[in-house]
Amino acid sequence: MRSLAVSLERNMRCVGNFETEPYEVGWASEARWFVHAFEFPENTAMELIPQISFDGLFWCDYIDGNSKNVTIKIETAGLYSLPLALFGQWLRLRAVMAKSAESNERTPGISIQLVLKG
Amino acid sequence: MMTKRFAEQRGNPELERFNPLERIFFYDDFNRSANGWCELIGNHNGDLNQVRKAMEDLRPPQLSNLPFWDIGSHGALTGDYALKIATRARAEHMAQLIKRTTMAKPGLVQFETYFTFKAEQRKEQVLQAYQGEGASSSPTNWDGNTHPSEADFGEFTFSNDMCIGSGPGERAHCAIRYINALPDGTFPRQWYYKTSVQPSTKMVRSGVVKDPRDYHVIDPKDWKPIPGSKMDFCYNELPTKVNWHYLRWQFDTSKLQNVLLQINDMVLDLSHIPVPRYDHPYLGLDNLLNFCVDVRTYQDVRNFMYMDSVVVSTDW
Repeated sequence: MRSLAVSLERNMRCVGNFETEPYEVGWASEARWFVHAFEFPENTAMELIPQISFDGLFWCDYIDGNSKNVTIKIETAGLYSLPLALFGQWLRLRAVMAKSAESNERTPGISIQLVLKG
Repeated sequence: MMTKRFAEQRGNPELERFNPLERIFFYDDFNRSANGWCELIGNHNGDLNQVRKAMEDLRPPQLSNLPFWDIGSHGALTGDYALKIATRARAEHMAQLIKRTTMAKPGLVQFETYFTFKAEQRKEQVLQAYQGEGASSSPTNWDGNTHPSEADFGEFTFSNDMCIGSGPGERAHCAIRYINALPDGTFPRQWYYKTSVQPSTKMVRSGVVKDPRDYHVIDPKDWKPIPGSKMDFCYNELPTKVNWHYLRWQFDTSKLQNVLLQINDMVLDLSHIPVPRYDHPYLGLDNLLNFCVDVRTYQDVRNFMYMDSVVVSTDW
């Protein structure tokens, strides 16, 4: 069994919508995202949507085995996690910031990590 | 002359393609794992805001079967997977992996790898293909042989970190860099050595130097061409065709010196190449021996470096 724990964004300040760097997971049979919101201002929110790809260039949202979208929604500081299976070759997260974040002087601080096994 | 070790490995297809010294220190087959090649991060005291800019975002290792949009998985030289180092799609971003060891004895060390490199294909080129416009409508004059993506790959560097003996020993980094294409579109396609030490966290914090723009040197100009080292790699016409190249690099940790560099059929004597040494001591680095590989892009295009496998051998 192989396993890798990787840090894709470390000590990041979120100033708008973004996507994480493409990460290759073709060898893995299971994946789990960890998102550590170490500083999260009140009255803001963000949603992280897992995405998958064949080639690392073109992306679609991940749909789970029950044909449902799964996401991580953050409104307070803390550690959040999301498991994925049947994801194919590439993974990334698409982050959508709530509009309230734009007017907030303080920006959310997060780290994004991925654990893979297979 | 055939060494005992070389004789023993005859018939072993895993090692037959390498030419190791007497003792194999480690053999990294990236079909199995990342084998201890991990992301380098700058020194900090627990506060990540203390990490220097040059060393805060050097990216994690990836295990890749080299998938491309046109054919799918290309695969490695052996098995499915290679170790991948990927930059961000941001000019001057560098990604670096490191493997950390210590020396049982100072002496000759040889690093061998089968590797390849590519720039990520620009998405707009793929969109043109999907929309049926094809390369003929590309703004570049594509001749069917050379590809515009060749100009999107910047440079890669193999380096080490050596500290001789116990206590505050002498420390130096050997670094050999291949520059493919510069931001102005020219192609140096040559190997270089560095002429200044790698600015350490200690040096930056004490104000001796600034946090560098080029991780390896104090000033980005502190590089000189290795005589006779101009060479082209087999790029093979497309960003989605991959050919593997052989590299053999020797250095002597007892002298903190380079010895030789071989890339396929080119062998360069590096024994006369100076290696800058620190003029101040470092504690806690007794018998340090680290191996590093990095890739840097000059364009807003991801640059990728792949190693199929690595053998490090010694004369210990």
